[in-house]
Amino acid sequence: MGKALLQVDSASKNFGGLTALLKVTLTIEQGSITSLIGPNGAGKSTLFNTITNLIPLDSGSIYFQEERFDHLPPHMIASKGIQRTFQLLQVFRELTVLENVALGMHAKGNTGFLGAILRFPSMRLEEAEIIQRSKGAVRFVGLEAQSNMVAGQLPYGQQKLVELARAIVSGPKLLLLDEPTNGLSPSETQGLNGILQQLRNEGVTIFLVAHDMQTVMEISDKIFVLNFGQKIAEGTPKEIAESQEVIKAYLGREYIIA
Amino acid sequence: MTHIKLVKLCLAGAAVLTILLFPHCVSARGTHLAMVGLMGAISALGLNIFFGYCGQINFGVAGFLAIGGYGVALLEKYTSIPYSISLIISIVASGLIALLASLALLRLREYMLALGTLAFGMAIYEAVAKGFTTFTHGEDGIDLSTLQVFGKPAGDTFFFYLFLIATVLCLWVSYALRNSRAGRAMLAISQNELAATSLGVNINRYIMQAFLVSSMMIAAAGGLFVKWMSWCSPEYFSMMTTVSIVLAVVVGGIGSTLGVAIGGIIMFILRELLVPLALYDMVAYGIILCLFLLFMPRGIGGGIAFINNGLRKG
Repeated sequence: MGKALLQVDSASKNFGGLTALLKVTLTIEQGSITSLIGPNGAGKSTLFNTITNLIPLDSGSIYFQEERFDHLPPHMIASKGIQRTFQLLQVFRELTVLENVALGMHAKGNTGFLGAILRFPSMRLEEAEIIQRSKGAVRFVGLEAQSNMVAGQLPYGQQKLVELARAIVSGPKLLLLDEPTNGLSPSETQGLNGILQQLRNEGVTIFLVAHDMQTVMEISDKIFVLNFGQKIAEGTPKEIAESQEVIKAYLGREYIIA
Repeated sequence: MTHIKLVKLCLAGAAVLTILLFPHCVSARGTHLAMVGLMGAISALGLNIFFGYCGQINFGVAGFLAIGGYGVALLEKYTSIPYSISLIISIVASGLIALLASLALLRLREYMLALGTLAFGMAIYEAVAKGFTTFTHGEDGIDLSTLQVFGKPAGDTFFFYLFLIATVLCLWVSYALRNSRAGRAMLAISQNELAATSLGVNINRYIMQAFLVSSMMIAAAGGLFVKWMSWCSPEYFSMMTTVSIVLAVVVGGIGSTLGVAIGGIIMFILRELLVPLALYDMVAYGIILCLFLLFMPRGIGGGIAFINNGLRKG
């Protein structure tokens, strides 16, 4: 721990007259679980979307493993080892669970049209590996029994797990999770927390947006707080829970760590 | 489980045997209809790669059929290249034209793409029917010689097997693509571009490649068809042909490979059978489409999947 994996350097973004991000600077350390909290509209999802280049920055820069990448097209981000989930679930509803997860391996493969049609031996090897790893990821999130079901027919909580499995199957260096516990039952949330901690133990760096303060306080190594597009605090869960500014802007009362 | 497999195997075997013996047992009219159906299957499978897998609309299908057909016809008329080679040249040429057209067309999406491809198809039609008539003889069309195979003129039976092989090849390409990294990427694009992009799918590249493969398959259908007919005329490549092929994909079940092939066969045979209705065939088409959208919105492919699931569950 201690080495910077992702650095956001005074990132700013305006939508018309609305300031979504204002000179946000933050560092994600390798191997950590970092949370991003703040009121609705604070710019949390915008920050995620700028990190994955779905929204271009107005100014500022983003470095991943000390390499600047905010000029890359969005489809190049995955091949750098960054995977994400979305605030509003984005599964491929008509594909099976296994196919959804196999798409998480896309950036790791090479087989194109010609390879698929002519069935080169390299293509078959690659396909076998994709399927094998996808099955592993499906098992990891506990959806083995549903792996051949169409994703759109699953209950919401399981679809969130499909999205998570798709994000982790390629063994990313950085995992961006936008509200992973949103809409989950307490027991599902517990299961998810376990999965996240297990991933961290395997060396995956996790950066998540969350509203569920219990989860945030329980699993985070570090927390950043955004308000009106600006970073107003950073620190350990304990420091954040005691910060008067955070309490004023977001928590509303002193948060007691259970 | 094994019981079902045995039943399936028997059914498949019976189907293959029937198809192989088909031209020997059925009247000339029957064989003719079957071949028109196979031509529909090839075209529909071609369109399915772009429309079904990638989710992008193409209303210029007949344009690519015409490129295949006129490629073969013009090469025969003005050069001495043998048919087998001119067919391949036409297919490749169709791919190249698709690539060029895609530079403009594939900047468009949805309704605009529909209009753009429609314009492309119309442009090709007008070009062969009214534009370059010195080469194409306009509405009169180009007469083609009968294909000679080992010194003997090839009849319907030969062409039937040729069409059959082409259909099987297209089916195979479709299945191979469907169950590959590239196929999954295409399906991902059709369902959720945002998620596909962030997983690393280069959307423009995949759509372009799908357009290319799709246009080559459709051109193959055109190149085979005109040689069998011994005549290449603009009337084969009108807007109605595009409508039949798009309908075939919808009726077959968008994205379902086997369903689309069956849809192509049905729609093209129907089209041939409805010829005596003259202009009223459009009404019949409309009714068929409405019935499918009402009672089988997922098309024939959806029906096959339904029966399959039923079998699996016992």
